[in-house]
Amino acid sequence: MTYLVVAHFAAALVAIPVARRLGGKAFLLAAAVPAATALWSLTVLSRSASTTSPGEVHAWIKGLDVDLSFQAGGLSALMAFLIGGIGVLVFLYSYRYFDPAGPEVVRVCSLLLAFAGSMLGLVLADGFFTLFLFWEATSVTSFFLIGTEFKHAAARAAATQALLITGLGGIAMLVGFTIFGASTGIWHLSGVENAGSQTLTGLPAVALVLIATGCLAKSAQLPFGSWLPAAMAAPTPVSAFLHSATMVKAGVYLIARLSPVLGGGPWRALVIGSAGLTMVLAGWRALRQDDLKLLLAHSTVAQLGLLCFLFAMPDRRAWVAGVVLLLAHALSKAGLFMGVGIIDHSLHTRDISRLDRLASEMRGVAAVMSAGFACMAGVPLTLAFAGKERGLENLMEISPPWFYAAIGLMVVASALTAAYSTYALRGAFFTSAKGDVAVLGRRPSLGFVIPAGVLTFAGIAMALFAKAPEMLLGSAVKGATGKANFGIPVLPHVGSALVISLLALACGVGFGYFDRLRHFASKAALPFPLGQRVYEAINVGLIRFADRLAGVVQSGSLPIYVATITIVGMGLIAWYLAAIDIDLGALPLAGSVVELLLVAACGVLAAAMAVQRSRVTAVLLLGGVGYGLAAVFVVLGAPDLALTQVVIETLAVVVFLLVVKDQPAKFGRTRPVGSEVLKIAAAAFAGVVVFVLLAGSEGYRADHFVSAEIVEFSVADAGAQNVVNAILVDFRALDTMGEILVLTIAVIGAATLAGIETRRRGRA
Amino acid sequence: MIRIINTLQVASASLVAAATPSAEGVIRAPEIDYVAIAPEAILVLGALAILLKKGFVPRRYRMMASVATGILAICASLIATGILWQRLADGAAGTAVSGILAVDGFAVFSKVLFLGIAAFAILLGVPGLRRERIMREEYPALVVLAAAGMMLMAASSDLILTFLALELFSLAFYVLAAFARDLPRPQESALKYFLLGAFASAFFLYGVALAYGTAGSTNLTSIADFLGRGSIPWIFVASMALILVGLGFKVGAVPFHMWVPDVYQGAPSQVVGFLASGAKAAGVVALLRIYVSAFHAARPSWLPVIAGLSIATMAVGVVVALVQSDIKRLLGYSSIAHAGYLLIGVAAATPAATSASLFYLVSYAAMIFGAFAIVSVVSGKGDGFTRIDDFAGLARRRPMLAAAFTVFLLGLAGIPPTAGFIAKFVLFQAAVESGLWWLVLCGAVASVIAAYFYLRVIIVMFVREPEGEDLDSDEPDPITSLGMGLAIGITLVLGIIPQALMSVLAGADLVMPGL
Repeated sequence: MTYLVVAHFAAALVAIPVARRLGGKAFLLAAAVPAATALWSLTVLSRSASTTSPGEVHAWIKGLDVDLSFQAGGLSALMAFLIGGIGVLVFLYSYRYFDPAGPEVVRVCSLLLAFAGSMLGLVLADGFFTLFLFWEATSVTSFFLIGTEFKHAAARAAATQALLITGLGGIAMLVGFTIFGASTGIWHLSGVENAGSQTLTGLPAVALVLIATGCLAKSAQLPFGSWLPAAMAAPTPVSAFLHSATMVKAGVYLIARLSPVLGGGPWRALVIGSAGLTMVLAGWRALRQDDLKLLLAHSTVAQLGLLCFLFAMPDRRAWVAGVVLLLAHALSKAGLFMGVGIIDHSLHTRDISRLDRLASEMRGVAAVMSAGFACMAGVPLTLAFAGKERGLENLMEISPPWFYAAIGLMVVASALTAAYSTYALRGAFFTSAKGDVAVLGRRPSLGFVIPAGVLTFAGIAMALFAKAPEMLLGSAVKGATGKANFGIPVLPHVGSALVISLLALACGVGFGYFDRLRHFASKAALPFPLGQRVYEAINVGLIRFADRLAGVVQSGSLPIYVATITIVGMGLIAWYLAAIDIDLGALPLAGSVVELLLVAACGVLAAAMAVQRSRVTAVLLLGGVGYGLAAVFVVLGAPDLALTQVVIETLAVVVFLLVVKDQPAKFGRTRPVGSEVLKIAAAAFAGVVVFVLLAGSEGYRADHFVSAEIVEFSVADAGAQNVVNAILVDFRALDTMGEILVLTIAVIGAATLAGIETRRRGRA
Repeated sequence: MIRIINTLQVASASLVAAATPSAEGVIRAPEIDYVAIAPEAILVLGALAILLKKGFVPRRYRMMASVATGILAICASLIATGILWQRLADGAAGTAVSGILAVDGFAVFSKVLFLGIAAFAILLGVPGLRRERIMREEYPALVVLAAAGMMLMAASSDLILTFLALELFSLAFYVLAAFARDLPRPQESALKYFLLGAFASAFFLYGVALAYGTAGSTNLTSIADFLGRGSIPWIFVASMALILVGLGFKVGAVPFHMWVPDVYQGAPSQVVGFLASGAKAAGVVALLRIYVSAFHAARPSWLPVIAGLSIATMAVGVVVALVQSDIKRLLGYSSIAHAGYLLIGVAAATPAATSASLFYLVSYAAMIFGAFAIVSVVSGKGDGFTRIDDFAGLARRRPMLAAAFTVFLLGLAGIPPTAGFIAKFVLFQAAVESGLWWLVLCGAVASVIAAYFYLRVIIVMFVREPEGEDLDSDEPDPITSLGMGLAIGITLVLGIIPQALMSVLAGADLVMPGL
């Protein structure tokens, strides 16, 4: 398996020089790679019904449960078959679609191969990280493929949107995997399967919601659905391969893998709710499209909703219906896209209102498209019909009342599918054009139509020859339900499910056939904004919020920053201080009258400084506060401290005055009043908190201080009579050294910056 | 300003006068263990040599001599650290210089990290600053002194020494932030950085004073013993809050983050990588050393605060980054968000989280150095083109630069196969294991939002047409290319085969006392 995946990427590299030389023919050569995948998957499918295939594990980060590991279970092999089989047809189709000498051939050919490799890696992955890696790789290759025509702004915007939504969804999923793994110790899909069915609560449940979010984003479900219709800017072969058959099925696939082995939980409700809404609303939107390709895109979203809906149902019989529909949808939708591409190629339009009775001119295409729409809508004798009927039948057997709601949703969704299928088919092929008629250019060659035909007719053939789907689906079904034999009824058996199915079909066809009814539908507004508008609203809303937040946290005003730091720092203390009570009455007021007077003087000086408008006076007042403190130190019996304080204060005032002399004599008065209030509030708050802190700490003393020991040992160890000297040069020598270093670097800094100043003046 | 310095000095003088270690309650004059202080001492000597050489080296060779001396000092210091590491391997972990300096796996590993950061600063800074014609001979001296300061941050086992180390590298950073820019904007941002930084340091010092008042010592081992003995006095809790303000400012945690975007934008791109990785790493190792190790017994008190800071930091960082139109500011807010992730590692407070944090710091340093190296090349002369729009179409103009930038941005976003992914992964895993899943959940949401703005830059480079005239940015010179290559190498190697570094981290016995 590893080799197969690696071979894709190697082929993608080789394709660059080859396609440069061969041009369009390179597509034919490249088709060999997916063909190998298809063949390999068939051998696995024929074998793994009896035995489970061994996995391949390549250790990556030991001790971290991160590895590259692959395992081919039934569902994986089925997906691999779809990737390989549809891949071959897409390459054959691309050979006719692209201008053989066009500039995009090299790019598309190589990227399609890389995409096929990523997709294959995704479905074969067993380890969570392997899965994630390939998951993101498909997002990235899809991004480049959508942006093939990167000169068009629309293509770029669509590519960006798709990458952002699926990529961010993928990252949410990665986070989910990590939390899931860390909390349960399970890091592999096979591990989840082996652990057996269980209902997870707490952390793993949160993780599963994140994983499900990633799945919904990838499979374009509400509210992430907007990217898929936008991605139709891609060339048609890309849309057929990535955005209908394979990549968008990645989310469905993962839900299908996890659903049978996990119990209930919020993730299931999330998926069922989102998918249930999507399948109805997207179907509704499809009815309103005139562009055939967009119609198919919305229909894809709706069908993916149906698949997610069925797979997420707790009952395994719904799961079986889902896997049948998965196959049916991949085949029919890829074929339909190819058909639209042919129409676009021959008539240079996809607008239904401009297509004039195409059935008479393009019979082959008409037949192919009819078969495709029939298969998608689930007309009797197609695979989709069998699947849908089975799904309904199973849902009806389950009793809780809300299952009726589920049945209702399914019926509405089927009716809508039938309606837009009828509308598209009839409008394009069987009615005359309403607007100016598109002129048929070159008739499509047979080789162009055949790949599409193979896909759409396969949906019918498989329903008639039930062996084929049993072989393809058997091991997947066995893996999920434990039973290999599930039987696809070729002929429907008579029952209420059949009646409901046929009724839904008939309603839908009628709805789509009569233009007036459809017009009514297209006029009626949707109950709430969908897709694109949600994306834009989130985008705009988030940006607006971020803008406002930026204004708050980055005001650019230094006083506000200082106030913030003060308030937060003091606030943290206040938070703890709130818990204690302080007996203010027990506080000693002051040691002496002198002390009290000195402190009061300091306070007056500080207050005077705060209201002072002359800079020089303010500096002098500030100096006065410092000298006042020095005096307090003297009174408290710390003359050495007082000495230091006086020296530094003197120096500081002198330097300060030197700086101030170059500045305006007075402080400006331009600031807004609010800023003054903030400053006063911050200062007052800090003052109160520090006061309470000091008042509270008054009674507290550590049991043990080192100063006594220092005094004791200063003569013995350091030979010093002066204790302070002993501390500075002996006991704390390293710190002194550090202080000197700090001063050194301050000098270097000052010198460097002063140098700049001189140079600038010199230049001026 | 002088007021603040003045207060600091008086306070520190009084603290030095009062505080000395008392592990066993007995203070003796220290035995100087020269091997233990060699790594830093060599750097300091190197810096002095750079400053003093003016009298001996002819003018023409001075610049070259400065750079050579700087490189030589870093190499010699690395060797000295290697010897220290060897001593550890022989089982001689402990403290030196009467308990002031820790000699353990954590300290030694951090020293190697800081030496690597300094080496990158010279490798990428010198050619870049020369190109801008703002290179000065003092640059290597500032780098090695800052490195010495940061190394002491990691090794310091005494709050006084931590403060000195903090001031040592901070002063160097203030100068670098204003480095030789004749423009008003960088000078304004550097001045704000300096004023706010000094202000925040004062909080740190006040906290140290209160811690001394309660525990009777500034020595971390003694404080740990004191806390282990029983109930934690509320004054000590207040001191933890104040120390956190100082360190939170260094790492750029909200609400002490205001300097980050301004300085990142104002400082020349060539030195921002150094400021970004250095300040963050130094702050985080100090938080790990002080809170996780020494204050471990008080974790119930500090956990809510650090977790709250972490959430606020991540939220503000990623959300405000969404609306940035300047790449340097964008990386600034991204760096704020990264500080938030790193605080998760601090909050988790386990050996696993500690080694995860160190892994994170290593990978972050490589990625941010690389990213700013590219910004410095693309933005051209005088950082003229730093709008994100200036990166439009870079993939076609300079495919290699665009590819390299993509690697760094993916790394910063935490997307495999880059180091950023593994780093976040191990960090989040360690946090989940210590029960902080709610914090990890916030980190996860932040990562998803963050991926948006990183992807946006990548998309602009690859998809948008170049705007206006072709900005004829210089080709990176060989040395800058070498530096970028190294950064890419580290980012990818740590992302693809992280075992090597992880086994080093596991083997280095990072368990600090108290943990």
